Amino acid sequence: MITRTWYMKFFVTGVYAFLYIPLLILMLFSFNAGMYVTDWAGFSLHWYQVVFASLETYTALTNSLFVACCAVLLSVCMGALYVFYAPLCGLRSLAGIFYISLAIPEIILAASLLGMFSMLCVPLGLLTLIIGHTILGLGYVIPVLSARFEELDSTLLEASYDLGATKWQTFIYVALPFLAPSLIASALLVFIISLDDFILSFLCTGASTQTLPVYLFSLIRAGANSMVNVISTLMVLASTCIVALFSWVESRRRHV
Amino acid sequence: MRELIQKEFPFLFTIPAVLWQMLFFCIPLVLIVVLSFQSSPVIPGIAWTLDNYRSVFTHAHAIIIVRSLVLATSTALLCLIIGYPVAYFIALCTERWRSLLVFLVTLPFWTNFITLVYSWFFIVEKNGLINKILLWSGIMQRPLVLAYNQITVMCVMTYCFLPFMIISLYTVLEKLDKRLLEASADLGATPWQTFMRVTLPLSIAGIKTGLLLVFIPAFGEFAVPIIMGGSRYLYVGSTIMHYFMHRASQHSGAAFTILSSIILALSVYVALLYLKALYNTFKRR
Amino acid sequence: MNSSTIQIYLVRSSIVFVWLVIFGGMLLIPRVVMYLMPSKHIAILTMPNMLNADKLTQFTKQTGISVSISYAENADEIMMKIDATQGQGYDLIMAADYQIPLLIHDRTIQLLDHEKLNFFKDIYPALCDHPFDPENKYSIPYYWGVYGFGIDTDYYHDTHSFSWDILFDATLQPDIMGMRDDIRELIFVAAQYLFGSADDLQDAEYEAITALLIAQKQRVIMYADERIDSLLISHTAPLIFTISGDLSRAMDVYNYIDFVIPDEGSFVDIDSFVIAADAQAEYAYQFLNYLYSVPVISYYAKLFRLSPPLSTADTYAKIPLLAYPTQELFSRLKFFDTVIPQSRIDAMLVALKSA
Repeated sequence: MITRTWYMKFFVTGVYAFLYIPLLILMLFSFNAGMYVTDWAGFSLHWYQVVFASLETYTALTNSLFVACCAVLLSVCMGALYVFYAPLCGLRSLAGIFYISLAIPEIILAASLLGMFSMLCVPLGLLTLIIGHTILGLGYVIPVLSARFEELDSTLLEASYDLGATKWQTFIYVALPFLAPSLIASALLVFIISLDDFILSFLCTGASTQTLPVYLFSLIRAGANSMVNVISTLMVLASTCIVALFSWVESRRRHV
Repeated sequence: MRELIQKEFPFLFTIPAVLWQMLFFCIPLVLIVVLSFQSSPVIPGIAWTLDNYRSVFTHAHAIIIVRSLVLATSTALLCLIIGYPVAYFIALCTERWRSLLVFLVTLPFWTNFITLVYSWFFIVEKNGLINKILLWSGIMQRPLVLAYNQITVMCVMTYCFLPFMIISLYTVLEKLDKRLLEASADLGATPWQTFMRVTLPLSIAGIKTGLLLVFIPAFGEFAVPIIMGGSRYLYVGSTIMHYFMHRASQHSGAAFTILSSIILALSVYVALLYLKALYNTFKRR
Repeated sequence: MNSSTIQIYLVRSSIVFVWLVIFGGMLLIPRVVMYLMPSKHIAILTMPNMLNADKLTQFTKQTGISVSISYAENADEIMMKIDATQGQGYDLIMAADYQIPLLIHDRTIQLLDHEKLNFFKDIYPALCDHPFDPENKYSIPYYWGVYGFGIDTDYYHDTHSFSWDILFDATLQPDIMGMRDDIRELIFVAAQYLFGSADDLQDAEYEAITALLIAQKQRVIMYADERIDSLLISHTAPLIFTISGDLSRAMDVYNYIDFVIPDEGSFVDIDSFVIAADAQAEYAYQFLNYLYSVPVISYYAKLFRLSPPLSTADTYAKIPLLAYPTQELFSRLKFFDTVIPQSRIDAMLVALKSA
């Protein structure tokens, strides 16, 4: 098989190294005692202390988490309801408007939202961020859930109605359990996308609502470098844990 | 009456998502279009003008759009060339290795974009990894200035978008029936022929998704040229950002946004047509 | 259309209406929150690296007024945030010198009552009474920075006199240099070099400025604001155009970095606090008195390596030239005061950065 050849393995290893070496060096340099980026001045936890003592980092973190949770809740709930109920009232064909939001570069989405908010004089802040992130979220939730929902045998739904269940009961007891893995997957997806989102958050930040990526960007622009390393390292570790947890849960579920 | 309302429950529950999308996605886009025809950003509907478009149909703006197209296309193609073998490799791996490799690819995917860009400083700076290797091995006497040029920008873009491509390709390649490959080999095809006639056509959907998933965001990118490119060139993303940062220029910004969107849509359409033509030629052969 | 279809449409439209009200009401939440905010609260809009939340908890403890700070990357973003909310939502704003006449004109800021500010007499006279706000009726200077060249003294160890020519004259330019990323400043500097001033520029002159900047771009490796010091630190470029405040951190650590002002004179930037028109002035004054007290302002000056505006505070600027704002120094400095139309700025930025 071509994949067993040495040059293939060499190439793939090279690509993985390409993907990981910058990140690993970044994490290594979070322990740099020195002030400036590429001068290694000794091992030190100094910057970790600075970051943990920094009020701004804490605020950015809580903002990010809050916005992410709200975006997940809103998009997953609205998305699940849409996916189940849309075929029942003929609005299925409108699904296109959700798919388009993925096809548009985020900067255009962000700029148009910004334009509308400034026209309506809505103060930019957590709410505007949540609104934007939910739009992003819906763009991911609806395709994922739709795909999963199509796999549901429609005869199951019919059987449920025949047995006298209302649509709501069918939704809760038949559709949701079936959609559950996709619900969790899309929730996780939206959560991480919201946490990592930069372009939309950058254009729509308002009073005291820097999210982590925007905060990182402003730190980089200000040249306050080693703090960026620390925060990035912590974020990478956090997402590793979340993804690892998710894979573990998935594998447990499959083997039980 | 009660029955009527109960009958309309589906509508009640479907409408939030639709309304949300309309209010916060469709309407802002419409507003942008309207704004692009205004002469002042304050009150729409007062003064319709084509001036914004005139100020945007300049040589300089065209260069910006072309530059973004070039960057996005090269990023997408590079990601494809590098990513396809990797996705193919993972798809044909044993189950044990596969989950580990997929996990390792998704990690950078979950990592925050700014972090990914920033990590490249440690590679290309004067005291960075590349220069350290060059100096230590004696190839160069003095360090190269690698940061802040457009090649670096392209490398960093490829780095950031590679996981997207690999995952898109993998999703499709994983579903490939391996028996088809075996059958093809049994029928006497060389590995290259199997690849060209069996694997590639069957994975065209993944290639399409991957290319779009890289091309479209890469077109609107602005952080990388600012951080890694020394802000020497404007791309579509940074231009839009600049225009929208000043209220007085938002209407020109809207015109530019519409212009770039049209060009983006046209490019994607052309690219998809091209891909379809390629696919057909493969099928025919 | 029979009655049942009409009924269906009625029900559907009322459902849509209900949801619209819910979502519309959601958009009003921030305003409601603003009204419900503890009345003893002030919101500050400022730029980073000038002020942070460190000393604010102490202020809240002392006076019971809670404070929130928002940041905008630079003066442009501050203007944008003010435009977006028409100045509401912020009580204290850090405004750049050229923005103050605009804010006065738009009536976004209110007159100051100098009686209420117990520190005003201690502010350096050189920072006060400038054309953008005569007698400081509206603004209190906080930050001042001088534009000039950051140089690598290893490279320029023999040169002691610098002129604007070094930026644009091909015989004098270094191979690699760095410039600030603010197109307005670049226009002023280029105009200074070409015409001696930026007043009354006509189309032909703007063309010349654009051409000059494009020609210079060949040798410019990076346009950046604060990060530009990394070019000097890593010996990538021997010369950068920057503002003094951005270089002080690097000068503290590396002894081969120095800051010089061109012989012909240079530009200065003064950022001042202004009070929004509908702000709660009482609390704003209390905060300002707290901020400009010697220990607090010295703390921030030391933290961000600024030269404080108060003569009674300690200065931490590494650059002796800029330790104290003297009238002599300011006689050699100009402000970026000409108003260039935004459309012109946009066109030149696009022309420069697409070349």
